[in-house]
Amino acid sequence: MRLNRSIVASALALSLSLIPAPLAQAADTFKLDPVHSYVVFQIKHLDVGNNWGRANGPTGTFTIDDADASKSSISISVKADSIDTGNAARDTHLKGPDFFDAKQFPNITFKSTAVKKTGEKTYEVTGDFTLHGVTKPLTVTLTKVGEGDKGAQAGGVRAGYETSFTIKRTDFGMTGMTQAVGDEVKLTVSFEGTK
Amino acid sequence: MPTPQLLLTDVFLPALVAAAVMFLGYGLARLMRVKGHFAVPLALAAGFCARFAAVTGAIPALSVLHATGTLFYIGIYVAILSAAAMYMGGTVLKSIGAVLVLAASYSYVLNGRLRDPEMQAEAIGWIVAFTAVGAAWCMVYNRCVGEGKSRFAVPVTMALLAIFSAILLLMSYSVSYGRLGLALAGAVSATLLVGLILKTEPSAAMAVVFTAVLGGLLLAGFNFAELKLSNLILIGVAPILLPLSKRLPAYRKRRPATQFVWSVTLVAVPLLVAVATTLPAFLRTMQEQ
Repeated sequence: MRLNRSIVASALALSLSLIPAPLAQAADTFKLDPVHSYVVFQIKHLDVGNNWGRANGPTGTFTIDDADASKSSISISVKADSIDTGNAARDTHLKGPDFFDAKQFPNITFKSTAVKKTGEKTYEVTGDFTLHGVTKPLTVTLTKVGEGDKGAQAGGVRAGYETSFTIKRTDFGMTGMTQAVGDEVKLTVSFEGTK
Repeated sequence: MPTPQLLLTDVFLPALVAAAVMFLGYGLARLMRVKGHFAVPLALAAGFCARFAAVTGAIPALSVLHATGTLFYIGIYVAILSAAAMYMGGTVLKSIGAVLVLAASYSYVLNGRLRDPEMQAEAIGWIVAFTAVGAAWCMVYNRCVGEGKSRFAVPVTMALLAIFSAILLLMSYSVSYGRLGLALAGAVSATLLVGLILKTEPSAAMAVVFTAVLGGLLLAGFNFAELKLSNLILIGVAPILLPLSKRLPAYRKRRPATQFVWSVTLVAVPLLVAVATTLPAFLRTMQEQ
């Protein structure tokens, strides 16, 4: 009987060790996938319509630690020169000194300083947001979209998150043409990463 | 694009402010029985800076490092230095001082690039080139302003340069730089008109302020907006043609008024060429938008 118990215990231990570990273990660092990540913005034009644009090819890393969210971190960067609104002339103007001033301030960045888990799939992320050479603290709600091992061809383990927030461009010294182009900018950042 | 009314305000408000400073300065000078030329660079800078917040959204912080904001303080610092320089030093010292002030102004505009190891060498090259051309402009202004009855060609040339530069900057995807150019043009025009009303001699005192501010605008326009090199060269060459008009045989035999027109026309030619070659592409773009 005693022997049987030890056999059962050993078998149980073995079987437990064979169960795959959770996909995102503590402090797994993901590298942003620029092809499947998006920075999309919406801004009012002449106070009558919403104009949309995107910044292409964001890069960075993120580490989401579900067990201890304070160990999580996110760092995302996108080139101001990648602004794309579907009109080349407007894009050139947007990249110029009246708006993004991309030649002087080439990078738009976000670096987290604190991450709190607020729900099963939501996090409150506070960090430093740098736009137009001005850095300001920013807090956003980050939602986990999904995670899974998609096989080697799809980059292995892949996780995706999304957040939407609003900023005032004038807070970042982007003060050009405020009569024609709104001050509030709605942003959606959706990113995937692989590890 | 901003409305025509807004662009007109960009010219007239600085002109009003510059005119007020000119009247005030010359009035004070008469009371104190001194020459009132010190008012000219101050008026030019006051007019230019008066429109700055309306164009850029705010008066820049004193510690400003981005190119647009630096232009505000370049106007103020160089105007004060120019006004002070009128009461001290000899011609050689003033010339050296002018070159140093121009080099410092342009370095301030490109300070970001000077701090970037990858862009430092190119930035130094542009600062040297702009300082050399700026020094040539100042030399031409100083030489022409004291010569004959066509001396008013100098402030008129400055106003033309500022207006055409503003137009070219507006067409180079930079409304803010273009509007600041218009503000400078308004301020220059006011100093000319008030000078005519008060019957004062045109002063070369504003040459360094004008060259520092317009040069800074063009340097920023070329480096951070889409101002073309060919247009930059045409603008740079234009004032240097001013003394050349006197070498034309036809010029010497003419009346002073005709000589004035000849001088100004010669300066305007490269500026017109720059605008004429840029305009079609700009209009096409505007239609597409």
